[in-house]
Amino acid sequence: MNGVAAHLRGVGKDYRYFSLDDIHLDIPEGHIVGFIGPNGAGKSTTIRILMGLVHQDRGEVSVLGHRMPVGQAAAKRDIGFASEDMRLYESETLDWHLRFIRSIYEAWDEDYARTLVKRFDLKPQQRMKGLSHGQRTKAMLLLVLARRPRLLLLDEPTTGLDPVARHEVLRELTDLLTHEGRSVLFSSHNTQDVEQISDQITFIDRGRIVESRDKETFLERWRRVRVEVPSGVRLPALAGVVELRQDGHLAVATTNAYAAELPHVYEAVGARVHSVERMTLEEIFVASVQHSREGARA
Amino acid sequence: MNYAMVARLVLKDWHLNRVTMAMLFVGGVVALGLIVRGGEIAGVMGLSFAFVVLILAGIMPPMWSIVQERKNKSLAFVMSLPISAFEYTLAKVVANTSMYVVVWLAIVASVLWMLAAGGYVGWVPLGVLVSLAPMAAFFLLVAVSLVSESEGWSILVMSACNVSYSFAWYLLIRQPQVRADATSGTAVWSALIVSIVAVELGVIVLSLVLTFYLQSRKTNFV
Amino acid sequence: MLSSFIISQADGRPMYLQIMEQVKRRVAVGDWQPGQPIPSIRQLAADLQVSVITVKRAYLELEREGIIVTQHGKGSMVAPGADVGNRIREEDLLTHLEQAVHAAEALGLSGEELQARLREVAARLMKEATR
Repeated sequence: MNGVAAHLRGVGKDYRYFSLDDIHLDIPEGHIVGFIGPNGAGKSTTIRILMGLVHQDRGEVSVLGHRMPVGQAAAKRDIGFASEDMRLYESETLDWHLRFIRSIYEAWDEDYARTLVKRFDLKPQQRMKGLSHGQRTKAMLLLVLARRPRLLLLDEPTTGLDPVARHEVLRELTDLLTHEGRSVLFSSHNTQDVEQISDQITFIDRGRIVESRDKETFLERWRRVRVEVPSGVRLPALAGVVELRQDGHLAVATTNAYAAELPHVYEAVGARVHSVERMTLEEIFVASVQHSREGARA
Repeated sequence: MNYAMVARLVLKDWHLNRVTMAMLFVGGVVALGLIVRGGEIAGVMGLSFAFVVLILAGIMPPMWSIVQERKNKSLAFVMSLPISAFEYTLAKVVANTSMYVVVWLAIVASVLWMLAAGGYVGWVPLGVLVSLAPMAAFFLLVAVSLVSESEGWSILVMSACNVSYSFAWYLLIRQPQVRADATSGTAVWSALIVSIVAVELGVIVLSLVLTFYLQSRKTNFV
Repeated sequence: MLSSFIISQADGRPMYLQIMEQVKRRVAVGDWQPGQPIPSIRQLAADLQVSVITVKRAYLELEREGIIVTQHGKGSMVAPGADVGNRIREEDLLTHLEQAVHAAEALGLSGEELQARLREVAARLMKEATR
């Protein structure tokens, strides 16, 4: 049961103004992987490479046991894909789309589909043209969720959704995992959603993977340490401290390798540690990306 | 090859274009009705109208099912289905071709038959030549819209073809031999007409070949 | 049973700790009895809409503290033994007492002064409870 639903090894893709490079990514079976990155970082490209819609220039892509892009037709039978810049047919109703998808996929669960229509508060007879952005997104997600695919690849699934709709979507995503052998990869700007439901988190910036770990490790290793620095005391540079900001007698150290000894190291040189704070995923992400960009510049 | 999936996609495009097909059907009926009505003016109007229907039938399905589908971001939806890029291309070609050929055969067969039955059989070779022109333009448009992924290029090619018809027709009908053959009372397949028809058929075949070849070389599908 | 489990990101404490605390509370008040099966990791994760890894961590810690037991293939349950609930309350009390000591130190009170305060409060509050 604990295999890998998909992996990317050394994947790269070159465009005129942008390059995806050296992408290593695993989607373990039965897990949710959250994919965070600034706009233009390469999230959508990576997801499309997983779908076989974009052919990588180098590297190996394997999804549900199929090599991509050659095996895309077979792989896509078990993949559900929804992207923020994807649209259903404006002139057709939700019901038409439901019947269309149902005629293609054997794994369609009609009861679940009807439940989702109610839960998402959608009207099957309505044409896509008349729907708001949030309703369109929910309609697209409904079409992939009702199949309970083995792998869900979602590009910004909660972007533009109101809080109630977001809550419903997260509920269905976590519910999917109670079924055997299901996995999810979703990219999002919404670090709160990613922090809440992801098992693994991957940061991407400027076409490269910056950090990739399981969520609890991320949250445990990053800390903000607030220190009072008396005159004449200098804080030592420590491995793992990615940022040290000092203003007068107060300093804040941001570390990605926190260990219980760290405060003692500072106190040993005469500083006083006021507090050690956990960081939200959003703060971790921003700090991580900034650190990575500085490293690239150096 | 998943023929069932390709068939579903073809039927889907037929369904999505049902309004267009209905309009073309009505247009075709009106055109033929005018010709049947008799009289020179009605006949010429009917023939011109039939020609316009042939042109539109070659423009609207590709523009809607290929260019607009991509522009409206529904291409990603289609490509998320369990199909390969080749199956997508095949489905588009089959869907568009079937939609076009249905209209084309109905109109062209009727008109040619009416010409022959009405004593204008000398005009049949010209009729075939004229009918094949929008068909060649259609296949060219399908190729350009699939391969270039550009609405601009599609419109450009379509407009260039449309503009060329009157001019080509004018050049042709100025040839004394052509006029003589047409009014001769028998169908004369002169070398000029045969070679032009060959070029038209060549454009059709080349468009199809290039479509499949160039589509297979793409590395960014959506 | 689970409608009263609420995990909030606004809470400030990590999610796995919130889960642990809510489990302990239920055991402490007796809603979850020793030996009673509790939701599987996957099921609780889905019910709370949190990641499986977070629930897994909570369960591991709870097991380490002896509050629950997980049998491979059979799921998890509250640790058997009548004293689990009591143990949680004892821990609770200990935590509060330690906090009281720190607060007393901050005020500059001695151990005896703290004990006197405690006797005062106990007399006042416990007398009310028996009224």
